[in-house]
Amino acid sequence: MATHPGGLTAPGPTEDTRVPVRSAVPAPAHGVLADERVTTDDGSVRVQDLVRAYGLGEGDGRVLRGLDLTIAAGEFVAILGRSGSGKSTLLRALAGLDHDVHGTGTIAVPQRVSVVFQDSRLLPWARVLDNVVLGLRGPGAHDLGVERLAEVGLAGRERAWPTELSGGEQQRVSLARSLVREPQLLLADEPFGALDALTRTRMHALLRDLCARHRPAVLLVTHDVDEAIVLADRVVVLDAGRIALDTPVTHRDPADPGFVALRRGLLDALGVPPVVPSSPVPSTSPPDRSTP
Amino acid sequence: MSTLSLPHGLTRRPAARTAAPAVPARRRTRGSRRLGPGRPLRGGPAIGLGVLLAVWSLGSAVGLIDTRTLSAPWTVVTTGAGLVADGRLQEHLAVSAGRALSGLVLGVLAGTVLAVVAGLSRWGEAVVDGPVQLKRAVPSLALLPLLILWLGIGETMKVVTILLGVLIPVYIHTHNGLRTIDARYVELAETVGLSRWGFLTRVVLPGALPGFLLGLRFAVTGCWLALVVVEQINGTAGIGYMMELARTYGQTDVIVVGLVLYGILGYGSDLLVRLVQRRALSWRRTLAD
Repeated sequence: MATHPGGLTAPGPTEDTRVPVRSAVPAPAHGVLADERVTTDDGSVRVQDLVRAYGLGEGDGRVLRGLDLTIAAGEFVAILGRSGSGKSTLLRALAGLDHDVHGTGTIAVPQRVSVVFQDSRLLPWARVLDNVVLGLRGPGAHDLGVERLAEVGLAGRERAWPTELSGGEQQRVSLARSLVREPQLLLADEPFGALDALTRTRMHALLRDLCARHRPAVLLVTHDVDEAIVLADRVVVLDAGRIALDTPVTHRDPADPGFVALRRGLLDALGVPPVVPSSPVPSTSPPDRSTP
Repeated sequence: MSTLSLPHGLTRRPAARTAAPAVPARRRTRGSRRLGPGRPLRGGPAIGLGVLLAVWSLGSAVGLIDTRTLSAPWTVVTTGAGLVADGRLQEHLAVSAGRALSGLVLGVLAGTVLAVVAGLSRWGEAVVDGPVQLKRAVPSLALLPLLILWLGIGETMKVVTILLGVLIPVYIHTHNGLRTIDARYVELAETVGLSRWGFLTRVVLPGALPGFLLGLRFAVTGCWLALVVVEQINGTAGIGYMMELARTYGQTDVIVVGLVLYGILGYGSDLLVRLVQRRALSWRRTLAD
């Protein structure tokens, strides 16, 4: 609507530098991926000039706009961003799950990649152990599955149906399933988003523990700033398809002033205004445009 | 303790104590869902049948039902016992069961294979779905003359007719079950690197199982229904033939024996499938649980 030929509407989006004007080149047919996908040998991740666009998105439909990202082997990177910032699109691109988008760029990921989804995504008709070893071949699969289940604290629940487990337990099974193939890269799309706060804290400890033991490179998509700081070695903030901030996590202790500064910096990059105590600011109302 | 059912604040007020209206505390049976159909009744499916049988017996006993129209239940029982004693009933039953079973097995196999082919490939769908839907719209009875011309009036024609009748419900429900498998599971299968075969056996077939079993329920009753039609053509044995013969001689009791047998067979097979269903789908949590 903003690009009405008669110019009847206000030139809104073009004033926002984050949203480019609609490109003159028409978008390619739905689902044309012209990117290069390579496998790395050292377990690292390299993303270069990644563009992803949905046909019906706003502006020119681009969700990722020339994104560059490198993750070293064994590095834990958290991706923060508001809804629609492109963080899930990035994860799906790395997982090779984006079929109905079009885009370009280079993606280099390790051979063994595992994905943990926001929902545990267990097959309801398969028992817990069968879910864990899904897709695994070879004679040792069964024992490996039992071992990983014990690792996430679910020893003895091998024969249970997924519906018999609590939400936290289901997500632990899904973690076991992702770790059973010894991934060099673990992609986690808001894995704890559907859990209650208490369970989430315990899952953080478990995930940190598991990652310390198996050392995969991790890309964790989240919108929880504290979760990102607690878990990651490095936090990347995405905004409108580009990296707005890329910072290492050096302070994990909430009492540390460095922690507070880091948290503030991340929140600023996410566009969250600071809460000013004792003087309520009408921050909820949109900025007044009538008076200059 | 008697005021326990009243709201908490009321017990302190003297007015409430003196009035003490005998509000019967409505006890709701716990342990079942409020919005579900409730607990399973003991001997549930038999109740409706019992009512039907009672009406029939009562009607026959008081003479409301003419024996020339419909024999009394006890006559049917004695006639049935007589036929069993002769060995004729077993003979007919064996022939009928053989036909029904072979038609059922072949039809279920064909329906499942076609559903998987049509469900998993666009080409399969393009080739298979049209003819099956067309067959669905054509009654078996209308197809019979053509089948007789092609296959003769022997066993092949009979089994093929049953097969075609069975194939449809199995195909429709399996195909539907397969196509409604959550896309998230397909995505999962891709991320864990399942092969095509692994995808079929671990995701597609178990996911389509509820649909398949529903189709099977229609199929098992359907195969007995198709039997009635085919056994009245050039039959020399079978329950349908027995009934057709009885019609010629006006033996309503034998006809009813046949009907009851069909009913028992159809109902029994359905019960059997439902039993399998409950076992095979024990992972599900549904409204009925």
